[in-house]
Amino acid sequence: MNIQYISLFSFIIFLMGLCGAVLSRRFLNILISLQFFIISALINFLGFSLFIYDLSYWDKSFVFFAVISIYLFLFMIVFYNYSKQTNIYWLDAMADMALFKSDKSDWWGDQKDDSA
Amino acid sequence: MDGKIILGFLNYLTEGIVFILGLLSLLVFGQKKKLTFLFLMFLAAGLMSFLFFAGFAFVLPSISIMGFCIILNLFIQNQEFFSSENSRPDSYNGYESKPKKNVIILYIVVSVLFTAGLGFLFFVYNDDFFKNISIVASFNTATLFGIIQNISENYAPLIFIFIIMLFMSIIWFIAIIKKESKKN
Repeated sequence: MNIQYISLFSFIIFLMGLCGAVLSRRFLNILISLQFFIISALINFLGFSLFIYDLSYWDKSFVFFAVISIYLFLFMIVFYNYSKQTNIYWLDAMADMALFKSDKSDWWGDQKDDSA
Repeated sequence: MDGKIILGFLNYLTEGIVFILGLLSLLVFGQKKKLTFLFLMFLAAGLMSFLFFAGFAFVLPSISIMGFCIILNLFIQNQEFFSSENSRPDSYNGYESKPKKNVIILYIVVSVLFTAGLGFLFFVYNDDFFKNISIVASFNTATLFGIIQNISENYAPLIFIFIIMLFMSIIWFIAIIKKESKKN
């Protein structure tokens, strides 16, 4: 195994992602290109930690949290589009479906007409 | 046969599989095929993380990757089910949906030249760095217990990622609010 080959290889994957993200206008192609960025970063992290350090856990815990957070973020973006497409977004965000509803009348009571 | 040679061969093999599946997922027509190749690429990446002796660092967070894959599949299936060819106009807000052939070729040539230039610069300026690097004598496996212990002891990566996620979330919500306010 050679760290230079692995690093060059990860850079090729990164460039493929860059090319796809710049060239394509489709949502799915841009998402796939983002996956290439993530995989390329993963190869770099794990490769360098394997070749340079005897046994380090810092990078592994970083990769652990980074993969979770990046994919939750991507999940959020895709779910936003999905909810827009299926009208879930308007049901949840615009309609009165919240568990706890609080508006002005909950705090100050209903407005009464004093003249009556 | 030496273990390191076998490991190296397997490593290059899985990296090659990741590259080929990724390229296929970009080039293949049809969204479902793209998603299939993308999922296979994730599987290959999981295998590759085991070959880097850090399988737990990628396989445990794969639960979130699975969630991402499922919602992406649902999104694409929904899109294909409800969309029809008749509903797509040829021009949308003055922009033509299909650019001309020579424009597509120009895009491809410019992007390939740009990425090739970047790759050349990367190769030239990193050559000395890799020649001077000192590599460890033996490779060690990161255990799950070690990773958990490190997570409980070292909060720096968590705080770092938390700050980045807060920053990204703020940008994302600003983008949504602007989009929504334009519509309203």
